[in-house]
Amino acid sequence: MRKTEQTEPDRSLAAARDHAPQMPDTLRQRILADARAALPAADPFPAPGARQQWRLAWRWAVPGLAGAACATLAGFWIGAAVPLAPDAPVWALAALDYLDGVAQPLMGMADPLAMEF
Amino acid sequence: MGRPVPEPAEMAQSDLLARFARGDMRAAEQLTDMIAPRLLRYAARMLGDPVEAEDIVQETMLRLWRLAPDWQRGQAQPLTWAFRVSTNLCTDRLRRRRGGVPELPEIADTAPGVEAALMQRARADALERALMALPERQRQAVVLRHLEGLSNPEIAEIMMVGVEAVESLTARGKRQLAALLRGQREELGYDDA
Repeated sequence: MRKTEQTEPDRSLAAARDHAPQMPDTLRQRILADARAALPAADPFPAPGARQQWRLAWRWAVPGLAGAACATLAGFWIGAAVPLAPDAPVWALAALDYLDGVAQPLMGMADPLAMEF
Repeated sequence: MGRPVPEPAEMAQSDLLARFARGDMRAAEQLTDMIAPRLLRYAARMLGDPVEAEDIVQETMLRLWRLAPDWQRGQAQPLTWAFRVSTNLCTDRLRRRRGGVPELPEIADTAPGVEAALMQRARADALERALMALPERQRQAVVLRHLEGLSNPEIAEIMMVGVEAVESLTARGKRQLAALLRGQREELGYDDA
């Protein structure tokens, strides 16, 4: 009896393997059609590659950085270097005298801030 | 007796899936040929309905295609993953139809012409009927182990249980199959055993 218990299912399983349902070609076609539809669509705006990224950086980022460096140097020169020039106060006083000379005939006073509105 | 050995190409399934994600339809064809027939056999035996089984296979493969771009290398093999998805889909269908009488699967006729072939066919039909009488989890374990030739760890992964539970389910399923087939020994030509 024990031998029979071991043998019957094994023989039936072997027979079932031999008579397995076959895959219909229509099902295969349906599966492949799904696969084609599921393929990721080509991106109309693909991300730039590494080479293209370097080219963009060279064209835009490098000139931008150069401009920022120039502006920094110019700011430093105006803010720190110019007031140290020995003739700066003379130049500034001459400019104020010139303004007084223009404003007095027009407004009747030398200093517009003394109008006392 | 020879149990079907898992195809060696299974090792390359993840690579094929990655190729498909890059747009290679040839890889999709190869994966379909590797996976879909096995899923069909499994689903047909689980549901006892070849038409429903085809739906399960198509749905499982569609999910695989959609997952392909995000497939993580090193996780389950696509075949194991597909069996797990099919198992869940079959379970859903069986739950929905609970209470109904399951129909037996139509098995493709492979040109029987001699008595031995007819006997083999009768044995296969008897087994399909006996399988449908097994509890669902036992049926899953027996089909995956003895008809699809998966290893116990693979089945454990598919059924999301431990290897010991798989061994127990398989053993109990086979014992119950023996009991179910015992009444047909003579007509199935087992009286010589």
